Amino acid sequence: MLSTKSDLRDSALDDTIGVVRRRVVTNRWIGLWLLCTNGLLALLLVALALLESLRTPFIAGAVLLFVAAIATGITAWYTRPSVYGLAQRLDRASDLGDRVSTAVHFWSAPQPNEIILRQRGDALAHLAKVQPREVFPVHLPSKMWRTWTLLGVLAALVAYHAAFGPPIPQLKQKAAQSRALATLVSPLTRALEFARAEKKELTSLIAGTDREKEATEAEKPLELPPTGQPTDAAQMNAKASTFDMAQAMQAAGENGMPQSKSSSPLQPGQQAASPSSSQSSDASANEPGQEASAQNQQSMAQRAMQAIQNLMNGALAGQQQANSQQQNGAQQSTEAATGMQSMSGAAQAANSPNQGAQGQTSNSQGSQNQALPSPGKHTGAGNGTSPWQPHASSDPQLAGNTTKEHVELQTTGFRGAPGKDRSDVGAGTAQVPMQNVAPQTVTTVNGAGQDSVPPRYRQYVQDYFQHGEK
Amino acid sequence: MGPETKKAATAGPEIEAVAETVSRVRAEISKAIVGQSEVVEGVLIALMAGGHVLLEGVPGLGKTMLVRTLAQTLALKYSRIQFTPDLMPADVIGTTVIHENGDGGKMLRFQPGPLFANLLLADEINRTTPKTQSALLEAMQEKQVTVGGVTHPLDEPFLVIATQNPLEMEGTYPLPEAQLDRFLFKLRVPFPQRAELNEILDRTTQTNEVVVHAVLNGHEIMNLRQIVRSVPVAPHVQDYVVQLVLATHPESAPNSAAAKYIRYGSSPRGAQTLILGGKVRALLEGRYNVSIEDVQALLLAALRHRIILNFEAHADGRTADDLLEEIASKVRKN
Repeated sequence: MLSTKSDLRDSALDDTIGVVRRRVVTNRWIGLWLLCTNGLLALLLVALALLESLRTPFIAGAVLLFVAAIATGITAWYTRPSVYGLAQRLDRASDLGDRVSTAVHFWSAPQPNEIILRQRGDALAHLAKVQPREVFPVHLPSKMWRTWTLLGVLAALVAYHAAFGPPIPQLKQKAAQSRALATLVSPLTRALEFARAEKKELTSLIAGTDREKEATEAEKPLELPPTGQPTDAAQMNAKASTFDMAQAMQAAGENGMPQSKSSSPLQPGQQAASPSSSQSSDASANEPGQEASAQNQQSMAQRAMQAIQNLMNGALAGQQQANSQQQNGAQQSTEAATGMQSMSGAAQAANSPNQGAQGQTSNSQGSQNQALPSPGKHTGAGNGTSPWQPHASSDPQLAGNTTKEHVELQTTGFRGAPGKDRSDVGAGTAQVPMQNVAPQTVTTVNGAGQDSVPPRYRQYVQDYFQHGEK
Repeated sequence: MGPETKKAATAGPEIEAVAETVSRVRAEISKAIVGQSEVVEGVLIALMAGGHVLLEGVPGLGKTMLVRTLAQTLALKYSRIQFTPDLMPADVIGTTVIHENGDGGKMLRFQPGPLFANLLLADEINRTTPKTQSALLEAMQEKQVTVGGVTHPLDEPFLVIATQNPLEMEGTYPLPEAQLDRFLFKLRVPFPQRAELNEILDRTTQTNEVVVHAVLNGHEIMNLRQIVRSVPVAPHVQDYVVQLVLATHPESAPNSAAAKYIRYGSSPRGAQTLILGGKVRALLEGRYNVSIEDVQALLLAALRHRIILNFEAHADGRTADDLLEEIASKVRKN
């Protein structure tokens, strides 16, 4: 195989191969240099993001770019294809049918025969029609978009650097600030979590209390603890809120304001869920004897939810203020109750929508708990002590749409005589026919009962005998 | 002027005349055969490369007529053997008979069979028994037959063109692999196109009779074979042929289609066929060197009968042709 320029004796072939070689080396050099340029641009981006100075990274990058150009040029020249390889490229690019490569390979034959000489002439004749500069143009690599992208990012980074300085130190500073802020906020977060836990505990406590006992307590006059008596802040807030709501609703009833209107912004769910409650409320406007009991029933859920809200506020306040506030807890609760008394029920709902929404939710839950049996009473299904009763049985509207959720199975006499259906079961119970199934006899004709043969093998055998060929 | 120069000078006009001679043969054959250009080219390449051809096609496509027309065009001694299940080897290669000379003495003399011809048409070769089929083995490869301990050389050029029907497999004996490998090409004779069929009807249902002239003789064919063998092949083309043949072997690439569907790959005769056929095709194309395109053009005809497919290939409906195309698409052309 020829590999040096001196082996080529024909000037046309030499010139053409030389042009191809220069173009191939140039394209290879451009590709390698752009690869290095991409790396240098990436390094330059990192340097500009870190360093304060703009001049130093650019000077270093320019020097490295120049060195990379020289190094890649040397690399591309020393890794250039051989003359035979160049001839193959020329054959493929010009569709010459391997004429040039064959001619190059047999060019140094010591005594070429007639057909080799003819082949050489044929190759040169076809080579004369080829324009190597058109076939092998100097072009930028196809992945040049990477370089353009990096240059665009570099330009943007330079503009940012000139305006605001290096971005990475700024990010570090912001990160340090955010850590300090998180250190300050974390006690508040813990206090909020504590308040939520208290609320959950109180909710479960209220749900377990007897309803009649609560009604009795609601009819009793509220007794505020004496000022200065050391009590729990949560209890004080709950009692204050209960007193506040009872006073507000009584005042609304005495002023002739319909109870449903005053409570409608707060309790739309309650009216929709329990129409009997709204009816009793309307009736209370006409019958003063029933007014007190209706108001008591309606305000119980409100008082409970308000107590939860006050308890949360008290818990937060108790976290932030330590022992000194415990000594003045009664005074603070009195002040809170006084502040709450100044607000009517409707105004309170309008000014504090969160509390109103919470009260609404609580009331609707409370009404549902009254209408439907508590799930806790039936979660013990399976212990066999009490029969489970479906929810639909308590709601006559839903009873018609439900289906039986269980069927009693009569297990006695389950195994009957072989070959006989089980017919001694009662009406409405499940019937499971039991019958012994004996294997049926199958008549086998020649070649018919071979379903166990894999279909592919059957197809193969069939094809072999029908269209067998090598 | 040295001997090499003399040889080159004498071979010069013949080299230039190769493409012209072959084109004249084509023109004569096309008088009788409509279409089937690939089959005709394959037969001519095999003739100039010194190989044998196995034609496969349904009856009525002109296989026998092609061979008879070729024999008329080449002015060669032509014989035909219709292979049947009861055909014996002696019916093919000949036998020794008692001959009485003029003195009244008797002697054993070899009576040559129809095998002693330049162009042998072995019609429906897969209908005879393997015993008779194997009688062709020595003749096809060694160009000689041995009867009664005496070896009889065959006349050159010797070309066997065998035909077989791919549809009827009842009562046939598929050719053994050893005999299949002795065929240079296995050519599939396609059904003619619409225009070609119209042309066939015009030619064969009217009164005009086709007259084919001989444009080439046996001596010229032998000269052409010498010229063909002197066509240069570049190293990367030869290496491409080697890669192709190796790629047909299952153990060459464990995860390839060859490993999955081929039981045995091509023999070295496949590589020889690709190079020799490529040389002839290059000359027919007016080129003096073998190119990769020549190899690719002859790949199916040269290797489709040299690879043995396994059960998986038959079950999955894979053929040798599509496997070879898949292999060729994955072999790097350097």
